[in-house]
Amino acid sequence: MVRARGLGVLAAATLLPFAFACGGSSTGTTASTCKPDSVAQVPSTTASTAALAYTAAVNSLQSAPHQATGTVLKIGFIGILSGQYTSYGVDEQRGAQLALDAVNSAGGITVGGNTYTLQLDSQDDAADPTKGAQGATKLVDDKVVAVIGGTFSGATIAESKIFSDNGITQISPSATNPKYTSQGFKTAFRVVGRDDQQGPADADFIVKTLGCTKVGVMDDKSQYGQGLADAVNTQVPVDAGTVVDREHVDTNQTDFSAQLTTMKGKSPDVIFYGGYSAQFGPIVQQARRLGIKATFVSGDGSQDADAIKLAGSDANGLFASNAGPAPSLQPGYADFAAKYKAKYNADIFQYAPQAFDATNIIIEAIKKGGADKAAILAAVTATNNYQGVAQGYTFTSTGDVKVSIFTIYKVESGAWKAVKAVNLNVS
Amino acid sequence: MSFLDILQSVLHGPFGNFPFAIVAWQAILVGAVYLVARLLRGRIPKGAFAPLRPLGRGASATVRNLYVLVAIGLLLPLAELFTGGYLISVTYGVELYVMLAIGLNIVVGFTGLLDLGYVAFFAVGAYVYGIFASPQLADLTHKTLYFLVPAGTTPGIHISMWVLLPIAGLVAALFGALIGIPTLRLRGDYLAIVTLGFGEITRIFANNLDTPINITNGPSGVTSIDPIWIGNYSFGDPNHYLGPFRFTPFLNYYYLVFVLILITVFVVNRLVNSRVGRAWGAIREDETAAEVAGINTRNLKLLAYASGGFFGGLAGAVFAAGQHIIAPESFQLFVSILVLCMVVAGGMGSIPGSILGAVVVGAVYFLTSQLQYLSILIFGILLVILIIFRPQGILPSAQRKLELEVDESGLPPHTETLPT
Amino acid sequence: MENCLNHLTSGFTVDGLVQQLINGLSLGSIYALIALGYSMVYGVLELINFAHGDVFMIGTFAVLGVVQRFGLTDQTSFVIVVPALLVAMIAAMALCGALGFTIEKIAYRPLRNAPRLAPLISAIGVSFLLQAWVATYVSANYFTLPNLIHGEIPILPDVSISYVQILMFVASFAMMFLLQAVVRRTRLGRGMRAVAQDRDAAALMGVNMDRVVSFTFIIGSALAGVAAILWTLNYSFNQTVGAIVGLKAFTAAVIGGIGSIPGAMLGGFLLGLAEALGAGYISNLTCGIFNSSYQNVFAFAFLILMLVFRPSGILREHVSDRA
Repeated sequence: MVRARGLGVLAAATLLPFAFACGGSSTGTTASTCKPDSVAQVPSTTASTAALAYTAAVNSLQSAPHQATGTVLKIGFIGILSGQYTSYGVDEQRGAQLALDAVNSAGGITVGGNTYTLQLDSQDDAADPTKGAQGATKLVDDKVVAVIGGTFSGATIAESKIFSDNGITQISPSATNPKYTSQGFKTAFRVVGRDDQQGPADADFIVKTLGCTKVGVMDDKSQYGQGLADAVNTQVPVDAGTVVDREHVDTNQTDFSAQLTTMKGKSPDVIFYGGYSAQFGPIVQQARRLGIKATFVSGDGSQDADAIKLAGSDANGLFASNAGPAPSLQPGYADFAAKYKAKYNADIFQYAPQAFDATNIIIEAIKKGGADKAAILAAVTATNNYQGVAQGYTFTSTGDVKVSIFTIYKVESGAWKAVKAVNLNVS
Repeated sequence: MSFLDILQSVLHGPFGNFPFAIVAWQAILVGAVYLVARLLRGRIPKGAFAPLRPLGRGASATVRNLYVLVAIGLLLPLAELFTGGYLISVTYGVELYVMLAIGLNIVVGFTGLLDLGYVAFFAVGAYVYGIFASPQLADLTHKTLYFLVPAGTTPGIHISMWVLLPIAGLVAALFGALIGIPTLRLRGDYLAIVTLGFGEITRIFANNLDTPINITNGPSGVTSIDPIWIGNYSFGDPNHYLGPFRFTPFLNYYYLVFVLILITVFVVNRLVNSRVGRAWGAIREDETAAEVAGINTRNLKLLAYASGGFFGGLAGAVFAAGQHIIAPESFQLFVSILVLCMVVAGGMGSIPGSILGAVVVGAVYFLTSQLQYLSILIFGILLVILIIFRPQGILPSAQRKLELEVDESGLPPHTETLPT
Repeated sequence: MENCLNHLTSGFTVDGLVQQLINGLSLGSIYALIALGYSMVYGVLELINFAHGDVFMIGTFAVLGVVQRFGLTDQTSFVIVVPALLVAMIAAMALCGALGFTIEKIAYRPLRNAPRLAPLISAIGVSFLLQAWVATYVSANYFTLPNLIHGEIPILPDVSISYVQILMFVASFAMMFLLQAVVRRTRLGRGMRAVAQDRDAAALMGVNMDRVVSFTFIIGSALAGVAAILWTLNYSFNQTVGAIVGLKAFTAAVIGGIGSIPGAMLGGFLLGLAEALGAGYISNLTCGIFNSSYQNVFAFAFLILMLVFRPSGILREHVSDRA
């Protein structure tokens, strides 16, 4: 009979590991210092007066764009405009477009006797390096003076060489891989912190703030996910915590029970997941079904509405970090969010404020140096504490931001609420 | 509104976003197209669907076709110089696929082995080049073997392309033979699935071989790969000028791959028109009969995989040099299937066919990328239509034309009939 | 070395093992259901229906549509959830069945006398078509259903089997018995078996080839619809889920013996177990050299080993020179 054979296999498989069964039983949230529920929302502050510059920029979005005159100056945008990660790229494109709208509706930029209307030239890299290289070449052909992009680090790195070869300033609103700025390209900038900064911040949060020392680390074997998880993996022991298990999944995977079951056997108090919300949500859902009670923490790839949607009823109590200050601490956020909603009838997904700020940095550079690529590059390099919607920006010699700010968020009542801010000063 | 925008709106239909509404509209469209096709059926002369006629007299048709293609290939990029680097980058991308298509044609077209994992050879070639011409092995050379390395040398192993390109090809060829061994007894569909599996396994290994020893650097891939150098001329240098025109590195690589394609075509042509090629043909027709006739099917199949692998690996190596970074996400299953589409569309067992197929399919794929998934949708439809109505491809070889062409009765010409 | 020994022994607990077995078997039951479709079609046509996994994927979206239409949440009471899920299942089965029938009629039937490569390529084209269609006109995002069926039965102190998982086992076995009944007792089922044995002889005996083939596709695709609803209750999905799960289900069909119905079931469960145990314990068994991200490699490795050493599968029934 068919089933006899199947049972035989089952029996053999069941008996064999008994020989090795010397691990203890697996339940228990035992750590007494581990208090994930004790962390609460950070109270919001009112806008500071030093932040008037961006407020002006955001307020000028109010006026209806009238017919702008003058020569057309193209600003390039390259990012993920197709595929499963489209939400990130489209969000950034919208942020950049809002910045350009504000300038155009105020009559464009007048510098050196010329008036310019700004136009966004968008290319899709679909997070693929090859497509990114082609899109970057197209932008070069289109004679853009500066570029906002890319979205994910892999394609951004591939594009960076092309922009560097052509002297075009590139500011990425979301590429967090350290490699992007360590290649030595003078044109590569970013307005967010790096994975090798975000990871330790997350690890510190888990071990020191939450007080949980038994940590399981999981990643999706993507460039971003593994990079972040590796950084956490290294920092946790430094903070006197223990990584009890390290698991990997695949970005196409939808059934995580094998990895989660192994993780459960090591009884971590906290599980850190490096990867995107498309997997984070289902992982949490399946973990709860398996009876895992550990707290879940993730990085900026999961700090968005999709994670809450996919995790469903298990969303409350999740933590995730993100680059940039909390929206309540971003002086211009509420205004920006309102303008975004008014134009696009949607909520900000994640990096729109960063894209908005990056575009404005370029606009400021054009105001100083005119429509010349080299002048724009010089002005951007010399950016000194430009106050954007999200934070103030100064670039280091490698193109990173001097002050990297990360915020840890928690899902409460079905929405992300900021619970901790981490400011890192990089000299 | 560009042509692509119009196409998109036509396919979407006026009934809103609800999926069933869209299906209904598309069903109406399909019905309309079908009716039109039936009406026109008798009225289009058969010659419209005849294979492309060769140009000129005298030399054989295939050679003539090749001359035309070579001329176009040489001059096209120069024409594109006027429009900027984007078209050149697309042409270069298509050209790499041309090389892959010729390589796959050896396996699928000439030998009849359905290989759905061709991207594995591409990946192997790319990684071999990438690892040995970049700082990837810096740990190995500067930490473990530091006593062998003179002070001041750049980290990592950097082998010159004259040595490394052939090596990349040979390693990929070896890989092909290794993949071939377990598949020797498989036929048809099973072979397809197994080769697909090998393609995926290669990608997963590339993604994971960063522990315990860092060979491929995992998902981040190998970065800072050396460009190709000939003497003092760096192919990756963006500051080369042709008269007043500044040309992109893609142009350099384009001509390099062009030379490689010429070599490939020459070699493959010689192979196919030799005993080896005839033996491959015999295996494709009927493997059992070939075996019985004394052909060493095992060695010949392995040779087919190895040859296909060699050219795939060569293409991969240049790809790595040109893009200066490679990552596992560039070597997905989709690439294998796209190359297969090109070979099938162009004409299996026909070298000009696979070149043309690669050009047509590749151009459509790259130039419609704004349509994102819609372009893949159209591909799928075209593939089905192509295989049903013209399975011999656009430029079939004379032999395959006889085998595959469907005549008016709807039967292929070689259907077995019961003895009377 | 000591680290390695540590690795080897630290991973095995009884709880963990039993849980992995349960996970593996429930995943396996879904593979089994889809494998039945592959197996039947191969038995009748000697064709690997590449697009079968994508028919399953369409089924998952059908279920999503129904669940959203009913507005189900994790708080919805049992009384509403059960009928709604039944409706979803019927919708999925109907849609998948119709889709399977259409695909066969348009993309495979004209190629019935063509060389082996042609229907395979046609199937690839259909697969592309379905995935791209969903990505363009529905969404490329991932989706999950809310927790509709709650509750579990504890087996060991820390191991329980959820009602959903029990449902998966029961459903797959029920479908297998149903299918066996159909194949043994109905006229079309007899026709299927006849065509699988010898196509020409069956035609000479008056079996209507077209009808039998259509019937096979409809039944196989309907089973994929059942698999779809079971999948959505537990896992996430997007337009790529069909390709991956389909490939593994095909592997399961080959392992069990293609053309054999109990074989497909056996293959499905074996593959599910291999994946769960492999992903769970590979790191222990190889001292950390291979990690759990190699999960898909196991499926392929299993397939390759089977095809090299025992190509007709464990329960060989369909002996063909093609294997």
